[in-house]
Amino acid sequence: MKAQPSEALVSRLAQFARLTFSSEEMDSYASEFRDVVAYVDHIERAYVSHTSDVKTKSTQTVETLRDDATKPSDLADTLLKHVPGQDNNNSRGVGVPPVFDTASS
Amino acid sequence: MNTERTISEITSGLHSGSFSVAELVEKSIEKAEQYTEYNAFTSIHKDAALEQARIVDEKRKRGEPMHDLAGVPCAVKDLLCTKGIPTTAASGMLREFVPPYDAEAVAQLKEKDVIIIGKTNMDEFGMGSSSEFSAFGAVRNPHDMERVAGGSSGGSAVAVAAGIVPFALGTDTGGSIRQPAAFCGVVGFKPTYGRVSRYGVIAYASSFDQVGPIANTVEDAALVYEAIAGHDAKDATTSRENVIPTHSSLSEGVKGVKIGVPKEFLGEGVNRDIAGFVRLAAEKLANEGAHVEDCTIPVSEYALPVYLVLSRAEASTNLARYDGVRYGKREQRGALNEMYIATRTNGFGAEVKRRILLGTFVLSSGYADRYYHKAATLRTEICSAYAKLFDRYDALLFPTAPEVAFKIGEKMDDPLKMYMSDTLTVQANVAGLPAISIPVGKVNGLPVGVQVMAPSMREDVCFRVGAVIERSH
Repeated sequence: MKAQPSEALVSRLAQFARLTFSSEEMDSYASEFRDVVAYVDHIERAYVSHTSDVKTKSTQTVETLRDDATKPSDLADTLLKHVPGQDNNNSRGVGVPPVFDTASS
Repeated sequence: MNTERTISEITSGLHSGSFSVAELVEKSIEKAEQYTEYNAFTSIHKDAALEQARIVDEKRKRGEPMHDLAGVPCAVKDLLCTKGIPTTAASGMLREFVPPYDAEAVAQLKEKDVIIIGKTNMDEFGMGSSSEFSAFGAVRNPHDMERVAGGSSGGSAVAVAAGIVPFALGTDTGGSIRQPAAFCGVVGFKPTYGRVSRYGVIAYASSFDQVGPIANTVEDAALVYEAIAGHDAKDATTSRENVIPTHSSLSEGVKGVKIGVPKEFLGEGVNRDIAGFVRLAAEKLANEGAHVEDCTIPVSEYALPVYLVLSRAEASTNLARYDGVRYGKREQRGALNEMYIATRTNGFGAEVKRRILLGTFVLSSGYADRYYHKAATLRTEICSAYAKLFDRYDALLFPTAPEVAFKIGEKMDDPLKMYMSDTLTVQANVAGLPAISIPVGKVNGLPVGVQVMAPSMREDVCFRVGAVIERSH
């Protein structure tokens, strides 16, 4: 599937990049952008041979530009919940097992 | 003192007492101020340069040991930080920026008592192939004022070609030293990636950027290269390998050296007369005892699109720092986001914005695999292809640019056409290899350069082959 960047896409990209363009500029940027993308699409037909050490991924295009917005995350709490050897006396709630057993030394 | 153009001529003049460093620097600044029509400089620093010249004269009088470059005037591309001297990257964004430290390459030159007379004009942030995309206006070619000087280190190439300074520093991300050197009829050298520190170089595309010299002769370029090359703890990408001495190899000749001439780089899209100059250089190298034969690099056709994808991706991330808070210009507006947008929209020029847009696109979710990751994978393939080729050859010979200097404004409205001028120079940047451009003649009165590319860390081979080409033209 060939990427056909629309003016709307270029406008979204400008928004991500914290730039604004007049409608005249947008026309010209979008047209130049299409030419350059058509040219770099050239790499799609390149045969890649011995790249077992390089992660290969699908090159199928999925238009999934997401909103540039923050989302709530409980990642830190989840991680901390699973830390072994929790120590409630420690202000961070994380205990580090002793390296030396002082009782036997 | 009017005829000395090479560093060795200058050094012998200083040794014999024919002129002082102060007189030499004064003359150099006089020329820089006289040739304003070339628009080669963004700033000239007369007082600081003359003060430094007097200090070097004093050292010389006291009989202190001096480096071969001591007292030699030079110009520095305005992309390298210079302590206490404005460093603008030819951008409205950094017009007022005065760095508190020197780039490592600049520090190395200062340590050797080189006198920096000024900063040279260029494409904004190094993004261009003509030195037209500058907040200070276009640089003009001394061979024809209606034509471009090449880019992005156009001001550095012009400063040398016009005889203002015997050498200048440039940076090369996709050909920005070699292509302007070819357009202006001087020598331009890009070292192996990691051979010269990038510390203090305003970043465009960090995995491609490299500092190098522009000079009148291969010997001068070698001398300056040796002065700035080597490991730097402040740049983790610099190599710890010893720098192979290059100066001594200049007179070794090319007997037994195996040279490949890639057929792909002499065909479609390359001016016939320029291709003819490459054939002529190949013939002369063969006459000097080199084994010269045609070769082929099948993946080379992907170097330009790979470069376009990766360099734009790196540019878009590197330039995200210019937000009106941390560096340079700030457009004071209501809310924070409005301030960011106004600062970036008014601070960056058209070509920089174009590259940021493409970079944002190729890194975006949904397109990164198709463009960025594919290009990164292909870059590995291209590196392997060149490494294999260098199992068979000691050096490759091909044109620096497919055409001579074009007219100012000719490609401004057609970015893709402009990008195509880099086809032959990006090969060395994508593969991270050293390459030198040597002037070999003229087509319709405009200079032509041929390029010698060598294996990684074999800068000495570039200079050795380059010196033979230079002598035979």
